[in-house]
Amino acid sequence: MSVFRQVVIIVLLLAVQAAIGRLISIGPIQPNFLTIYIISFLLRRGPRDGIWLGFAIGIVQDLVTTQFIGISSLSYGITCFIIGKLSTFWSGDTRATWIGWLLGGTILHGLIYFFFYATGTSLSFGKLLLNFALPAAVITTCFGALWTVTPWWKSSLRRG
Amino acid sequence: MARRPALFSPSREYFALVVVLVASALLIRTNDVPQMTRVRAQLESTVSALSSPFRFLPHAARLWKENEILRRQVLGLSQENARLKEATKENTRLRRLLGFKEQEQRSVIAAEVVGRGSPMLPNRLLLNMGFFNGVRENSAVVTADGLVGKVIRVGPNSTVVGILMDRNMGVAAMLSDSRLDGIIHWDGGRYLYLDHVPITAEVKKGERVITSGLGGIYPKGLMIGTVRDVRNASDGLFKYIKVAPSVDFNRLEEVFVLEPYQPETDTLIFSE
Repeated sequence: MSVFRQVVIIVLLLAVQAAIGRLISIGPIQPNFLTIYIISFLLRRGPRDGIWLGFAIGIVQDLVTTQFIGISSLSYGITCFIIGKLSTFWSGDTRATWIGWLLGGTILHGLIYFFFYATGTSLSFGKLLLNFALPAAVITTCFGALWTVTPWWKSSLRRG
Repeated sequence: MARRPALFSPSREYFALVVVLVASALLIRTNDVPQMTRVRAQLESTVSALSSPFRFLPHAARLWKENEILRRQVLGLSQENARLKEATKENTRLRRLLGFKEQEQRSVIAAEVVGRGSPMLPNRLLLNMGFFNGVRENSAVVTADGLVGKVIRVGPNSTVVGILMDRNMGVAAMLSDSRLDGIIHWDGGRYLYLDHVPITAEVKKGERVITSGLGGIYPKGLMIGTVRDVRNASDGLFKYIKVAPSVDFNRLEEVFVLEPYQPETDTLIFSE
């Protein structure tokens, strides 16, 4: 893995997320291109590399404007570990399973993120899930599904 | 294929997970450390500077049209301005006669929204104005529609604003007709709610909710929203007043930062 290449991809994805994410959002819900990349990378490279990449992207996301540093990195790390472990039994080599893992990953990331976000407040965890996490998972998965019809998707699959 | 056993070695995965968990926990603990705040402010200023040119591109067509509309509005507003100046003069004269204090003229800083919080929850705004432009921490941020939130962090050329729809935001508010005080919080969805209004109070749907000026951050009278639903809270002491915010937080592009609010306080002198 070329670290430099990953840094360039992350910077580009952050720019795309900032520039396009808002334009194609539905209310406050926008597709998360970084999650698509993390899950795609995870399915290709396995849980260990996925955990590190998720952690790195989580920190970058947390550092700029969000309230807490560490929540995104934590939720991406755990998500990559669980999805990475499970995907060794049922790989994401077909379009349907790839989309299934993406949906599972985005929902799991939302669950962990909002669990920590809502802790210690009067906010309803269920309400946050219904209003933000689940719609975001659906819209992110839809954009991920669009990625699977591109010619680059095949080459992004796990090697070997 | 040869790399797979190394990548999927269980000990390495668990090791990576443990490191990530410990590092994230340590990072969460550093949230309020001043050094970390400074690092974040610097980083946000860089992101703000980098995003500004990109933001112009998709809005070029819109700006052209907006410019035309604004020219027409300027014409109408200049006529209205002349009329209002006369009214202000009359108002000032009458207030002097009645002994009222002059209402302070608060300066505002216009800023552009160049970024939002995480894609998961866009409840923070990144503005392209910072300390060097006169923005200070805890200043109220508004639009023509009403209160947006307050300044959380100020960098040299950027500002992070916490909007009302955030877990820790609480705004001292009052109902404009019944003049009852309460505290505005986010309900975790599309609405806000007004807390601490006694169960015996009469509150009507559609009533406006404004800032009360208590708490020392937000000046009095800023529009927050309108009452959408009223019911008794489960604790049996207070009402649960659902409030529809007057600002559409998803469409914010330009905002105004008010100078820090300094409420007038009466000095109480206690003698023993």
